[in-house]
Amino acid sequence: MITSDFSKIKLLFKELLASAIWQRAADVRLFSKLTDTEWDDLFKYANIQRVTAMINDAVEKLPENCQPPNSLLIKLAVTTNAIEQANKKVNAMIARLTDIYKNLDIDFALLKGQGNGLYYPNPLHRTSGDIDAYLFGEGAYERAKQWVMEKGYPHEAENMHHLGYDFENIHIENHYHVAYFTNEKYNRPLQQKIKEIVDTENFELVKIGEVAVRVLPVEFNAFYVFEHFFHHFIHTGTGLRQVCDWALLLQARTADINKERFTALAQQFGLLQAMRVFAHAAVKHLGAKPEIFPFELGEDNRYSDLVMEDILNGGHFGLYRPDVKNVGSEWADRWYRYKSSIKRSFLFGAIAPSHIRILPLTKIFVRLKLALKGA
Amino acid sequence: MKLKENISIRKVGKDYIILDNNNTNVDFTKVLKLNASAGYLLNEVQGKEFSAEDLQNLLIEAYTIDKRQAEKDVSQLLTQLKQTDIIA
Repeated sequence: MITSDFSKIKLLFKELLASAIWQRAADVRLFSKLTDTEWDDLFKYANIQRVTAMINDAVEKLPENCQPPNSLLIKLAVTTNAIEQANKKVNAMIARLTDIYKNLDIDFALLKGQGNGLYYPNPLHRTSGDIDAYLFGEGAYERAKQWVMEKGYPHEAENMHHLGYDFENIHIENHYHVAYFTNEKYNRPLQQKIKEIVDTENFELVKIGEVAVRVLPVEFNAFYVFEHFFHHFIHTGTGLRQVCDWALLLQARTADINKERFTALAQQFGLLQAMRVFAHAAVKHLGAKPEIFPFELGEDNRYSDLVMEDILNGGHFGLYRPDVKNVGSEWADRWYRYKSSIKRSFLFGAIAPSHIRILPLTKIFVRLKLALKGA
Repeated sequence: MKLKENISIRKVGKDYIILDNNNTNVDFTKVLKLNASAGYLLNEVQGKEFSAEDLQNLLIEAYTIDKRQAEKDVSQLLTQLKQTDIIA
């Protein structure tokens, strides 16, 4: 729990994060007289946003008289080391999975995750998560599912889009879809776009460790990374790591993204306005350069501050918002999450009305669909 | 002798810490703190076979100290490393 002045902690944190992602010096004046408690809160808060190794990078560059007490430097170093080790483990698992799936004649593309990490100043300093693999090609998903079952790996109940399982303590999700929209008006063209990528083998190959892995082509990937975190944002919330993923990808690959085509893509799927809001938020609060965004930013409005405040207060997936709680029973939890979505749809509806305003209805629709499937 | 595999030696401020990466839990209490000269020595011999004498020579070269001081420092360091199970 943050015990010092939260507004001050958020301000200091944003400065350190901006220093780490854009690799510029932090404004040292802000850090010359911090108390041990404030430093401790900054460390806790970096964990809440899942960017501790990035904050460590920024802290290491502060002049000695502005650095935290040694005990905190050690905590940062230990946590950073753990993040590096976790990344190495995930990368090694991707290499193994590439071999295993190749032997099973399963084609896959890596979604987000370690692929996003490549655009970080130090890829091992992105807090890693699970491995998301989009399986494509005739019968690939089913063959992978059969393999998971035969091996007896612990797995989740399969949902409409993926099967998640644990392989040597690493969570892997085999995805049947790259992405989806509940609204068929958007979903149909989205699936068509993905089919085109698959049919024309229009993936990019990137190196994760020593292994070449397919990822989505950059233009679509820049759209997808946003769409994915925005989906989380409207349901429960998103943390700054996911915003960093998007901003760093755009910064590294702006030259490879056709602005007109990207704008049309964002517009086609009703997400241009939302992207503009997040872009303004990144420019104002994280010091992103406006030119990294492959669309015209347009006029700023009150939503950029509102969105950033929500991200800063909610942390990773919105899990740290003061009003988030586990109510108890499954149905009580569902009702609570539903109420929370309605609240969010009122708050943020205007930034992507065609996605957010219908949220209360689509949630009921999806639940009914799942109930009919017995889930 | 050799340092255990899969350990990290990290610089923290002016000092160093050694972390055992075989232990997957983040445990702030199991951190071995070392001064700059000890950190230098371990960075030099990580991944290699070494003897106490190798460490003493490295120390004499880098810090221009006498043999007796080097023996004393290296002996202290090796005791610490053995106690914390850092030597394979």
